[in-house]
Amino acid sequence: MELKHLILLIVMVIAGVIMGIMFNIALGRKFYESGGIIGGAVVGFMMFILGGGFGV
Amino acid sequence: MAAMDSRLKRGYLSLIIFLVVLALSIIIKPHITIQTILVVLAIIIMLIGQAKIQDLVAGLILHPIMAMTAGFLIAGAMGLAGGFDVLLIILRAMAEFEINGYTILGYIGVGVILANIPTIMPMPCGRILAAALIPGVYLYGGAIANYYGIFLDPALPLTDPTNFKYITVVATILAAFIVNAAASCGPSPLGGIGGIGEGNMGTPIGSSGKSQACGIMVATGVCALVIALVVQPLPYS
Repeated sequence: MELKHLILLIVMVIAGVIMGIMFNIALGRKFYESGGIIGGAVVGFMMFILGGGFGV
Repeated sequence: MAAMDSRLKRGYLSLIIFLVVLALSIIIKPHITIQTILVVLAIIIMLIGQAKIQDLVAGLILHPIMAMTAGFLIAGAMGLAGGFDVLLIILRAMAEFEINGYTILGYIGVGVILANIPTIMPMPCGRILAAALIPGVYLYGGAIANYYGIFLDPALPLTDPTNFKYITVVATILAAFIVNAAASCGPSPLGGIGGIGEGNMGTPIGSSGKSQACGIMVATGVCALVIALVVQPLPYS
């Protein structure tokens, strides 16, 4: 794993967490609830892996 | 009960085949169009679900675009084979999975993953997954609302506060899923609108995929927020 891949992975997981927080608020939960945050992080990780992963 | 069991078995099989073939299409990048794969997939699921073509198109409005048609056929085949019942069972199990008494994802976390499935498995046309999975997303939206004690009462008008809360939850998850699906052809490694843009700019194929995926993720959250916070009940009686 190159440094750029690591940075990309971190950025995508952070974007996922931000999205998860927005879902928490949208669905009437507290913004810091773990479900949305963990779900968002999982989404960011899966998009990194399935969206080409280390290939690009 | 036995009939239901066999329906669920067919549902498990059809859902697993559908998801595995989509994932393999992303990973292997076969040199045939995704529509061909989807039509073959629809025929296989039709055989598993013992469905006829008339069953699939009954009650559906078909769009004259092959991708969407293939998505609708998949949706019809999966619905008849029990795929959406199984999808709901799996999603509920994921949401209620717990370690030491603590749920890991919960209903919201699973909803977040479900709304982002189109971009996690980006097809060259977002309509494919949008059409194929919308019934499952609709059912799961209702499951989220029910879990938090919000139920739809058919005796009350839709603008009633209780019913409107239910509708807002379902609309939030559904709108987020649709926005995600609509944008998902951008980062598709199989050649979506993003690939066309890269070709026109002369940049390497797939170079903009990750940044597009990040933007789509954030936009999905913004869409959920807009639907939940801005939409108000219409003043009709």
